[in-house]
Amino acid sequence: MVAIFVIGTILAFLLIDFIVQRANRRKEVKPVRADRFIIPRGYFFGRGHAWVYLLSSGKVRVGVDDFVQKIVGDIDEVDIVPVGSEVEKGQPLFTLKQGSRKLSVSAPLSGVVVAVNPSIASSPDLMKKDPYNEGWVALIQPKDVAAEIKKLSVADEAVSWLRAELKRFREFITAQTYPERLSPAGVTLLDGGVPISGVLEHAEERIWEAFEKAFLSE
Amino acid sequence: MFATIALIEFLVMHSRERAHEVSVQRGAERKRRTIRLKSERYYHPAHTWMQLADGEGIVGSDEFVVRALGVPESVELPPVGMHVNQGDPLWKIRKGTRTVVQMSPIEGVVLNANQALSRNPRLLHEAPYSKGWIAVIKPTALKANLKNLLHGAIAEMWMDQAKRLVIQRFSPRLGVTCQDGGELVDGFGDLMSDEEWEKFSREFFATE
Repeated sequence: MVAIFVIGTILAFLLIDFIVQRANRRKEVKPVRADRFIIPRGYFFGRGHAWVYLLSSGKVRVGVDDFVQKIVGDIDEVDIVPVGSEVEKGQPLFTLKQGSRKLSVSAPLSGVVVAVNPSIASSPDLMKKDPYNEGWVALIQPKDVAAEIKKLSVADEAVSWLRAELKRFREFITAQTYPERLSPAGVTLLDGGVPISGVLEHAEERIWEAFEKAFLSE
Repeated sequence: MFATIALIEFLVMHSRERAHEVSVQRGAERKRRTIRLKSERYYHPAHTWMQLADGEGIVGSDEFVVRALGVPESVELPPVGMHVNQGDPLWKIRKGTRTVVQMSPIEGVVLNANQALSRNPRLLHEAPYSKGWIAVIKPTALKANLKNLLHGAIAEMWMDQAKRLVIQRFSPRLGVTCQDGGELVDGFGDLMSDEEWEKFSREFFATE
């Protein structure tokens, strides 16, 4: 009787150990998230929400961060400056189009555009599906990566910057959408409850213009 | 009866597990702070480095390459007198069936190569930034070359992010601390399948 009890206890322990270990193995290292936005490791972010990924060749890939993708919603077309163009940091690099409305995204680094993503023209939805890999937009040979990359945010700094941007966007969209609700004393915020995903899909052109000015310039 | 014991055991293990996680994370953070890259060393994005000494550039493979391969079996040095452009292949490191071709971080003429490495390739693994140097190059376009190299705090950040990216992109098993993933297992390339290695080396070491 005692033997059965002892063996049973040992078996129970072994079973629990097995379950705990299996649960641990399931835990994977995930990309950092600022609220619901993905910020992958190794990517540098410009103030205008363009990301930069430094390739081993020294060239950089540029795309649009998850924040803009989520806010804009579906993109119908992307207009990129022609291959061979020289762009300065802060100059327009490409335009995102949705119907008749558009947003211009600035170059996060100065350099020469050496290639554009050939898949973007036929399927601009790649930018939304996989903004940091398949959805890259332009390949740039940078002019002075050593100096300019220091001005971009990376890692934890990027996370806190994106959080601040999200807060700023909530204030922005509240002020733009419900100006009549503003009290004379200042802005009344909707308490974090503004749905962010695709919010610009339902916004007027005026708001798109204001958004570009407030969020997409370097 | 079993169920009660089991429940108690589960709770105890769970709390220990959490305490362990916290201490592992703290340990990893301390470690990361101590591994400082010297500010005067310049890094090429293909994981090679250059350090100036009397107007000449000493070049070598960085800690990331060393971690990926583990102890190499041989190092193929560049011939003295060879002219090389920034980003051109300059030396090869071999281990088993795997070869990493490394790119020159600067343009110039090879003045000297570290012959000690052909006798003892281990040196590269032991001290990639000192005894494991690869070659000395007389720079011919230093000012322009430096614009494409990283140094100081940004280099440190870039290196740390590269390590984390490998863990994130490939597998958490490559990291020493699974939870946080700051450091990579020594010789982590051995844990990759040939297909993974191919993809990894193309992304991190190739120049085209």
